[in-house]
Amino acid sequence: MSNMIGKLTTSAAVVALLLGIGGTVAQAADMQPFEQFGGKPGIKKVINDFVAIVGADPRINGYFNPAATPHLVYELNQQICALLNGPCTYTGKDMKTAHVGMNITQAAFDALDEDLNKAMDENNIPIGAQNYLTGKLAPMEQPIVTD
Amino acid sequence: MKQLGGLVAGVLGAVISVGAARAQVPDPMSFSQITGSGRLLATGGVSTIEGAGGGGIVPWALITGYGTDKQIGGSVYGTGVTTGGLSASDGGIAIGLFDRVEISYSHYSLYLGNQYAPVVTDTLNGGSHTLDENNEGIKVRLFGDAIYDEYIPQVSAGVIFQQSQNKTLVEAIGARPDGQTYYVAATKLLFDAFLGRDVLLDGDLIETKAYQLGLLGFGSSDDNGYHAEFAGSVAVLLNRGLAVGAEYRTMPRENKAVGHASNYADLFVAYFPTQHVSITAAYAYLGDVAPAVDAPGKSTKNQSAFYISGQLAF
Repeated sequence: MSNMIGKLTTSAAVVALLLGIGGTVAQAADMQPFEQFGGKPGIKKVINDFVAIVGADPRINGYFNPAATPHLVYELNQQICALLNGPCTYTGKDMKTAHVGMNITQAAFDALDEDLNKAMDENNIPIGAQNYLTGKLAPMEQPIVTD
Repeated sequence: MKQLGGLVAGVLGAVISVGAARAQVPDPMSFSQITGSGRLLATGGVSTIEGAGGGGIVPWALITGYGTDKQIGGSVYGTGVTTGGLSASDGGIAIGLFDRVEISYSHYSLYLGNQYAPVVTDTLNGGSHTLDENNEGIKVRLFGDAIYDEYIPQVSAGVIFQQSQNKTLVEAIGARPDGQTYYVAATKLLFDAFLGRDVLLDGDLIETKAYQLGLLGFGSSDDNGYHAEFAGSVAVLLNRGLAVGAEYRTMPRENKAVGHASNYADLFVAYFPTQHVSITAAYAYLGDVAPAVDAPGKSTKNQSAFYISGQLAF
């Protein structure tokens, strides 16, 4: 048993080393998610890239009306800024109302999540801030996915 | 050699699978829609040695593969294990139906070499020195959502029907060759939970008579009752495609014929380069396996093992 504990301790140290990879983890943890996104300009950049990726994604671009994109971009900026505890208030519709009648599937929701991940990766958003935002968005699956 | 074969098959399958994925043209009406992979990377988990989707030794509440509630997913895997003088191989297949029901099959094989006393090896099939077992499993997702529910974990219940292929040996130690293992698993992904990383937690309650997961049969010479056991996993997702974790599983351990056994534990690293391929490497601690039947000068005490497992999923 003591042998096993020794091995587990060694392995825990290895895991801790792995977690330390990147070096920025400690500093990044001190910053709030809003700052880690680079404030409003950083959020704007991520959302512009995200909307472009979604527009080119044949799995889900059929759900979006190109004419409504400027409004969508505005609402997304407000909403994500607010979710990241930035100085914004989301005044758009609640998620259930905003997606009513769109017959969104779980596969479509997950595809959207992948596209957001891609946009955040391209903008080098730290993984902790990415996971924070994903954690805020995940509970929206239930009101949004109706099909 | 069996392990190598499994690995080669895994790699070949991986290449074929990636090629097939590239060749798919999105078409809303096609077969690919139903055999889909609509769920997120790594949310299918990997395969346990008993065939159910989970970690390596702990079944999780997640349904194997990447199918959503409108899709059929699935997975195929092969595992090779080495442990001081013993070697094992394991392979299986599982289907996930509509992210609700999982049906699985696995076969594992433990090659004993000359570790054990003649009383054991003489009773094996044709003197093959191999312990073999088949597992058929079914798991049903009951409620909750590991990823999308803010508070309620995903809870599933399952049963694994197990058949030792070494009837003579198993009966010689007072056990039965067939048995069932019942479990309830609760699994939850916690976002941004540890150093900014997402963490997956799982806990299982298990009812079983299986000794060494059934390789030494079900029940013992003086105890044919079910035992309540516990299993748990914790995994940290270092990034979206790389998880490190630990598992623990308790099991019936007092057996007059084979001696006092240990619980299992493991540490693993799982790498998901794409949804369709994952590779898991693990260090497993099996402890004392069957100390009462050790051959002179050979010991089954304090056993540990390295294993590598490849999985293809859709």
